[in-house]
Amino acid sequence: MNHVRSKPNKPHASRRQFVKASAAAAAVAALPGGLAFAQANEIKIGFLLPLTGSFAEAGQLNKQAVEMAVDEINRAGGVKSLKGAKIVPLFANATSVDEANTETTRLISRERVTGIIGAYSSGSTISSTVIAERSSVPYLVPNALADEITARGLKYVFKTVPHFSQFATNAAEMVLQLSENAKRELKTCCLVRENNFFGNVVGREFAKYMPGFRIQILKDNIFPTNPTSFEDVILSLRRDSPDVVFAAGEPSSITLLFKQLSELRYWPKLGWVGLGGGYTNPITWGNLGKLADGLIVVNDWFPDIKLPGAREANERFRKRTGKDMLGNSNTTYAGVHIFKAALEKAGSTEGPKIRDALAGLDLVDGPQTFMYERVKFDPTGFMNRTTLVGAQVKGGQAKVIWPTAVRVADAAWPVPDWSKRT
Amino acid sequence: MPAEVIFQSLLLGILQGGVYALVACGLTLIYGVMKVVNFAHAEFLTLGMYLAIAAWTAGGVSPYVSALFIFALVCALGAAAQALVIRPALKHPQINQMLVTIGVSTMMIGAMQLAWGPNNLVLSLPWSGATFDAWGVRLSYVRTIAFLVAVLIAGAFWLFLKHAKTGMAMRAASQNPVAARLMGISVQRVNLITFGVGTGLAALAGALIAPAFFVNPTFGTDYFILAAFVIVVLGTMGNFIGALVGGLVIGVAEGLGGLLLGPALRQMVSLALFIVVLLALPRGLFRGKMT
Repeated sequence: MNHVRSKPNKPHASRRQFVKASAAAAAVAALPGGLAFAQANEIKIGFLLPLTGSFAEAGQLNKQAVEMAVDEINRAGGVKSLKGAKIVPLFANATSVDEANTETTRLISRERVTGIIGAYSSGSTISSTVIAERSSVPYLVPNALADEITARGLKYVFKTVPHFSQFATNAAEMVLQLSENAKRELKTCCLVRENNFFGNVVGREFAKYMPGFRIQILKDNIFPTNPTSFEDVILSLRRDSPDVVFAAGEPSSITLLFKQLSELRYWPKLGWVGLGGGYTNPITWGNLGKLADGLIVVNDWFPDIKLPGAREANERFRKRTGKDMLGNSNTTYAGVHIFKAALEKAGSTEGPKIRDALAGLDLVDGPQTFMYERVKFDPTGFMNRTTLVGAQVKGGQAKVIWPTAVRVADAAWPVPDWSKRT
Repeated sequence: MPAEVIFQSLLLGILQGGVYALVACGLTLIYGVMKVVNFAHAEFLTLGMYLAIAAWTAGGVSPYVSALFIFALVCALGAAAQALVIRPALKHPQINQMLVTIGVSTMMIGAMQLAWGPNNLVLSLPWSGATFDAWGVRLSYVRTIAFLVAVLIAGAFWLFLKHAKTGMAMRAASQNPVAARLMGISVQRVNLITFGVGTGLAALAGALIAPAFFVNPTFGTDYFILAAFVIVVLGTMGNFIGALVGGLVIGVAEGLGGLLLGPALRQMVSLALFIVVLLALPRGLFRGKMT
C-alpha cells in the first residue's frame, strides 16, 4: 500500500474512484431486490462455536458437521413447508462468555436469524440463551452439558444432549446392570480424575449421585495436569481395592496411566470405566493399543451402535474430515436436522411458532435417528429420552455394549485382569 | 498405611528419581560450566524421544541401540546451535542468553510439530510393559535401565571432571574463564563441547525413557523441565552426583507425598522440601562444588 501512496497518480486514482463508486451504486441498486430474495428463499440460522482458541479443533469439526447437515437439507429441496427455502448457516465465534453474548446479540439484531444453535461450552450457553429468550428467538443446545441450561424456566431453549449428571447416573446404571447380568456384586468404586474442568464436574456429580445407587466411593483420586507418574494413584487403588474405577482425563495422562497400570499389574475387580473427554478419543485407543482392550468408555454416541444410519453418517463425515463424528460433531449434526424438522412443522420463520413446533415435536424417523430413536422434549425443553451409551474397546474400536437396545456386542464383565489377557 | 505399601512407594520413587536425574544431567553440565540457563533443554529431550520412535518405526531399531547414535547426532546439533546462536549471546547480559534459548525452544517445538504432528506418539516395544519382581515390588525394565544409566553417567562424569584433562578444563572454565584462558585453555572449545554433550545427554535420556512414556512436541516442557531445574539447583549446579541425589530426593518425595497426601498435592511435598533445602543451603546440597 505504501508505494501506491508515495506515488500518487491522479488519472488512475480518479478512475479507480469512479469504478468503486459505480460498483457501490450498483450494489445499492441491487440491495432491495437482493434482500427480498433472501427473505423469500433463505432461512438464516446462527451457529455459535469456538472457531479459534484452545477448543478450535472441536469447533471446526462442529462447523463441518453443520455444513454436512445443511448441504443434505438444501440438496433435498430445503424446507418444504416454506416453499423450499434453503438454510443459510451463519457461523459466529464464541470462545468466551463475553464473545458468545456479543455474537448472539449481533446474530439476532443485525442478521435477524431465525434460530440459534450452540454454543459448545456450558458457560457461553447459559448466558447467551438468556439473550435469545428476551428476543423470542429459539435456541437449540446440541453440545453443552450443564444441567442448569434447561433448569431456569426458559421457554425458547431446547437441549438435545444428556446432562452432566448423567455421566454419574447412566454410568452407575450401566455397571449395575452389567454386574447383575454377570451375577457379581458391585458395592464400591474409586474415582481417578484429572484436576481440570471436566474432571471436577465428574467428582461433583459422582459424590452427589453414587449414594442413591448404593455405590460407595472409597477414594476420589485427583491427579494434576501433566503428571510424570501414576504410581501413587495405583498403589492407593490397590490398597482400596474397589469393585470398579470411574475415570476422566486427557489422552496424554490416560496413556501414561495405562502403561503404569499394566506395569504394576493392577486392575479393579470388575472393570475400568472412562468418562467422555480423552477416554472417548480414538487417538487414545490407538496410542494404548492392546492396553485399551476391555476398557469401557461412556459418551453420547459411538459409530458402532445399533441405530439406523449410524455407520453411514460416520462414513460421510469421515469422507469430509478424515475423522470420526465424535466429540459433539454427531450431536451438532443431529441438532441441525431436528431444528429443520421444527421449521418444517412450523411452516413459518417466526420465533414463537418455531418454539411451539419444537415443544410439540415427536419424531421417530428422519436423519437424526442415527443417534436418537425418538425426539421429544419435556416441559423444561430437555430431550429427556436421551441417555449416554457405554462401549467397550477392543482392537482400537469401541463397540456399544449398553443400553441393551442399541448394543452391538456383549460386554466382557468382569473385565479380565492383566494376567488373563493374551 | 501398611509398611509394605510405603516400601513399594519408596522403591518406585527411587526409580522415578533416576528418570529425573537422567533428564537433569545435561542441564546441570551446561548450567554449571557455561552459566547458561538452557530453556531449550526439554526440547532436546523431546527430540531424542522422537528420534528413538522414528528409528523403531522405520527400521525396528531398539531405543537401547539407537540411543548412542541419537546421542552423537544431537551432540553435533547442540554444538551447532551453540556456535550459531548461544556463543554470540554469551557477550550479552544473562537475560539475553535466556531469551535466546527460549527462542531455540519455540523453534524446535514448531519444527517437531511440523515433522511429527501435534498428537501423541507411542513407542511400543514388545516388552515396553515388562516387569520383574524385586522384594515383592513390580519394577519395569525400562525405568530400571534409565535409573542404572543415570547412576552410570553421574559416576562417569564425576570421574571425568575430576581426572580427565578436558574435564579439568571444563571445571577451570566454569570457575574462572579469564584465568582459564590465560592458562591456555580454549574456553570457546570447552563451551562448544559442553553444550554439545549437555544437549546430547538430554536426547539420550529421551531415547531411554521413550518406551515408558508417550511423546508430543511439548512433552519435555510440559512434563520435565520444572523437575529438571529443581533437581539441578537442589543438587548444586554442575554437580553430577548432585543431580543424581537431587533426582532421588524429588522422586521419593513426590511418590511418598502423593501416596500420603493424595496425588494432587504430590508436587507440594517435593517443592516444599526444595524451599527448605535452599533456605538452609542456598548453593545446593553440595554447597556449590562441581566434584
